[in-house]
Amino acid sequence: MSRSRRDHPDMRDDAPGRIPESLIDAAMDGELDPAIQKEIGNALQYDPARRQEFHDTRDAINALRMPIESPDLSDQVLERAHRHRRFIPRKLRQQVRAGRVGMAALLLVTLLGVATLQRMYPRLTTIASQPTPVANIESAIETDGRQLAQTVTGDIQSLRDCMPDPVRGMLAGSLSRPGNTSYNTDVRIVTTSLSATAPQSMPHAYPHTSYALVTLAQQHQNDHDRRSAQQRTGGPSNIVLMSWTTSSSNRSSPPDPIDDAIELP
Amino acid sequence: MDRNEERALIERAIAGERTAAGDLIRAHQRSVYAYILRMSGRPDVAEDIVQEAFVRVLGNLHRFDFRFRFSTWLFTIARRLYMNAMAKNRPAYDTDFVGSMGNSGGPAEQPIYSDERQSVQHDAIQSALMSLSEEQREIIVLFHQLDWPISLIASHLDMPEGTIKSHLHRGRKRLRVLFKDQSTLAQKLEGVAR
Repeated sequence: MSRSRRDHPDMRDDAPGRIPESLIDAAMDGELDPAIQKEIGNALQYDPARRQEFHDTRDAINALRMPIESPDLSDQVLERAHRHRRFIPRKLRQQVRAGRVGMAALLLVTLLGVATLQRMYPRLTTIASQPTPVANIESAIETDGRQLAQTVTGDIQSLRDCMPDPVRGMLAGSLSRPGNTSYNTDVRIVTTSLSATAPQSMPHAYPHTSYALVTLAQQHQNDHDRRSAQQRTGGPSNIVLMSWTTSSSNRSSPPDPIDDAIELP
Repeated sequence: MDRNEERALIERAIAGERTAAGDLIRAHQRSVYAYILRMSGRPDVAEDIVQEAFVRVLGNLHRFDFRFRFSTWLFTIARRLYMNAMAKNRPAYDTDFVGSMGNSGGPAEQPIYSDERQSVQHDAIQSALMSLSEEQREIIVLFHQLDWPISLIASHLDMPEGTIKSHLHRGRKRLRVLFKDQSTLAQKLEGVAR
């Protein structure tokens, strides 16, 4: 931007004798055209103080503009760029970029596929700790079936045990009584048969009395015990007759089946 | 180097031509080195920063927008690196760089200046520059040493042109005084040494 010397605010006719510093600055900034600068140069001849300042400033700028020896850094820069793989040819860069995009797309598609399968077939994508062969599955099903059957049987037995059975209850009570050394807790009930009347083999019968024939078997610890028991009793089990009073007047005293029991060989 | 020539060089460098990249570095390394050297007063700092700036420029050359000047981009990166380096560890003014006055303790391994008389002038102006504020020093270097116009400096430093001019005028006035003092001192020391 060039200005006429007389247009500049600091170059008024009534300005003091010195050249305004701002005008020198404008000249040094290159804002004045060459003709004006030449006029300022002439005017400096009549302003020694400003001329000295101008020369000092010019010397400083000339010192600043002196060339600086710069080391050639091109080889070091290219070496570093190559080492850091930052300076890659365009074609290779495009290939690398395409490869990265392809890998990312593949990963995305894989994840989406797994997510879809997970939604459609949840068990298909469940990762087991070990592979399970088909034979193992068959045996596992069979084992599960057996366990289920045992559980059902056990439940039924529990239900049966819960049902009222006077013979079983009384027998259990007498077996646990101290002093009954003929039977112990190893005895198990094999069969029971309830009867309202006494068996034929019974020499006498009592009124208002119920009878039951109970087949008991002893559980032995080993084969030797079993053989000795069979020799002693003549068989693997004993049949006992149990009786108890059913009249209402005698209910306060529960029957003692063992006392009335007749041991049959 | 005109804009078209520079553009062709950049495109060749982008295509992976190593010689073009080398030419591009050699075309600009002097000015950016001088800029950072004037700002830091340390040749080693200037060398490191210029190297790093060129490495980054070459690594991102494919992103260069040809609407702008390459030198402006390069100087912006170099300036940012210099500012980061200053923020992390402000480099002390290299006394050896100035200490060639009196012909003792000068840079023996890598002489920066070829002529002794010029060396004294260089040291005096560098010492005067280092006494200025950061803004004044940068603006004076860009304007008077690298011949950047006021508008470009304003854009580079993100300042209004009026602020740039204000810094320039005040800095120049102070530089004049400081440089005169340094030169006088250097002449006295030179006389004593002889």
